[in-house]
Amino acid sequence: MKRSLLFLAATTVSLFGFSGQAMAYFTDGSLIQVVYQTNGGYEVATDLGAFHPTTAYTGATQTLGNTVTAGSGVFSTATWGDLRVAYFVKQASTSDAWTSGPATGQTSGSRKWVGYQSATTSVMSKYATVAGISNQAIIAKTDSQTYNTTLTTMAGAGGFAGFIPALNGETSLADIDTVGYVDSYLYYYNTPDSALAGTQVAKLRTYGDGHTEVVGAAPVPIPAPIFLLGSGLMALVGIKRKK
Amino acid sequence: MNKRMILASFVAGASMLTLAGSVSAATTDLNIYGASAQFLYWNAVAPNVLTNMGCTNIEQAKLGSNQGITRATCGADTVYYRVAAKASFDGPSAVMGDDHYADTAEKCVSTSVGYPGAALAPYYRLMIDEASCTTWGPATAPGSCGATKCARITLGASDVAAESFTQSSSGQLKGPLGGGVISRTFTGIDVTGLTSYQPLVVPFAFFSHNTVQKDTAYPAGAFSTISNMPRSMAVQLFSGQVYNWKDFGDEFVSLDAVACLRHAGSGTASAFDHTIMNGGFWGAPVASVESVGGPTIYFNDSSSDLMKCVNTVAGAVGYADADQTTSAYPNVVRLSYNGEVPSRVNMRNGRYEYFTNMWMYEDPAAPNYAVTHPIVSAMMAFAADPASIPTTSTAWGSAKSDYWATRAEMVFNKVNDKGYPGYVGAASPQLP
Repeated sequence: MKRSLLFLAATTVSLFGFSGQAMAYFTDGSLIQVVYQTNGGYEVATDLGAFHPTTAYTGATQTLGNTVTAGSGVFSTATWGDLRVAYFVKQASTSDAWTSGPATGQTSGSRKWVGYQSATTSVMSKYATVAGISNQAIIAKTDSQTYNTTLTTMAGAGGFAGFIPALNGETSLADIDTVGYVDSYLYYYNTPDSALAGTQVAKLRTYGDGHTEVVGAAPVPIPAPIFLLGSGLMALVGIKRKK
Repeated sequence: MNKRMILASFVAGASMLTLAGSVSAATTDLNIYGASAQFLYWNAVAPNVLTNMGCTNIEQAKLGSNQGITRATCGADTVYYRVAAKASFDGPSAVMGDDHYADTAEKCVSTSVGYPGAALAPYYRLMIDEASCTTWGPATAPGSCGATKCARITLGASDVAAESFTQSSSGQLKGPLGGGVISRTFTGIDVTGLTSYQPLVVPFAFFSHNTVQKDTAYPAGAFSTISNMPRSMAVQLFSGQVYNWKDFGDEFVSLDAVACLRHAGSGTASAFDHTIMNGGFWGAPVASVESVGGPTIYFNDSSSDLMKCVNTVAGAVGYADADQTTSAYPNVVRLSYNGEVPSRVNMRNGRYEYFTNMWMYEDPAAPNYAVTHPIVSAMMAFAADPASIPTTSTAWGSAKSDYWATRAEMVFNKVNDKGYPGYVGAASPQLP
């Protein structure tokens, strides 16, 4: 099943509106989304802007930028079931960590913080190099310093370099075919050292049209002009799903 | 006369002809820069290389602990052969004309002697200004120099391939000795267009503080300093998963474990990452962020800084080129790795895997290539000969012959920095 990839301009505008940043990407405190094809050769990393809540996000639903769909670009041979998504945030200054996980909860491993910080630093450096001035890096999975070679490795997919021993940090995008979106949950770890139950701080909803929303406890539409502009552009470029 | 000697004579003769045929009474500068592990070697062999080329009046001098110069008369020319140590990354970077990560102390800036202008400066680093050398001497007693000038780098020395610099580090410049926090990140160095040489193989080793002890007759309390570092322990220690030596079992002393690493950009650090940590593929990446207390991890700018880290902090362990002289660091002991001592014999015969094939990078498009390349060729031919590895100590350090090997004698070798040693057969077999 193919999907269209037609909303780069729209989502870029949305991203700027959300994060308030325009130049520095893949830096500490940014929410990084990685999508990769299990049976393909690429991963796509997107800096979704500064987002690192330490308590449950209760604000309005907001749209984060994203340009990834199955059946397009480097995922031209993929179905939604072939794609996996993971999210993470690194913030070395506070020694905190954020990783995506399931709704049911997530726990970090003991003494894995250094490994997490080291691996995410390495991966984000590579993403920044590849992305240049953009917020997105499209890179071969087998390159050095990628999610697939550094955050997965032999510790296992969804394990964030051993930080999440249960290996439940990834989500399949298969449900987009039937539901239209897939939910992941962001967990916060306050200076993790020993095994620690993560604090669920946000729901991250990945849509089939390529955008991601952060869903708060009391979702309220944002009338901000910048997001309206983003939505308008989306409409203009004709987002549609086709079987 | 064997084939090697015939080849060396040919190279020397051709080199002399080239030099003599260049410009009458000219000055030739050959500047080698980069890996600290290679600094002593290239200084130590300079008189032999130049002698083989037919040069005369060979004298040497030094500035501090990381700058050396050799002066020789080669035909009608005067050759200045300089060597300076920094870290591996800056060797190929300089040849490529990139000074992004070069420290202020090494950069050629507008106030430096011999500043070539902003466009060319990234190809230059500060090396000995021969005019500042007040005395000259033989290799056993080099003279001394007092200043540096901008010098275009001819050869970039690195312990690993340029594309193997894929590490990050953040912490004090000199670990426990401070120096200010720095962050370095490498995603590989592009050396497109450069010519590379790999004549030698360099072993690395683990070093520990003598307080790292184990009860050899547990539970009797017969503690003695450890003598071996298995890979499994190294992976745990240098990925930040060990807080106390007792984590490895009650036989070990109760003492905070301290990991001393090199900053990113070090060939030694890259070699460690790829050889010991397997690039994180054992399940944990090498640490890249400084941490003090639970776990304690330091990063160090140079090999000597790392040795000081290990020497200074009780419970410390680190890694460096295996032939580091420990006499200057009284608390430091060299360790075996996986039960084998770091040695030339163990390395070439497949019993010691912690080594790299060193790299030298040269730019065939460099302005003085026609003049410098014959000397480079002579250097590489000399270095590739198993008999030419220094067997005696000089002012440039201890003999290398117990540790270093030539590629030609390696029975087992790696195809690249990330590879595992495999049988290659020795092109120039040595005994044992």
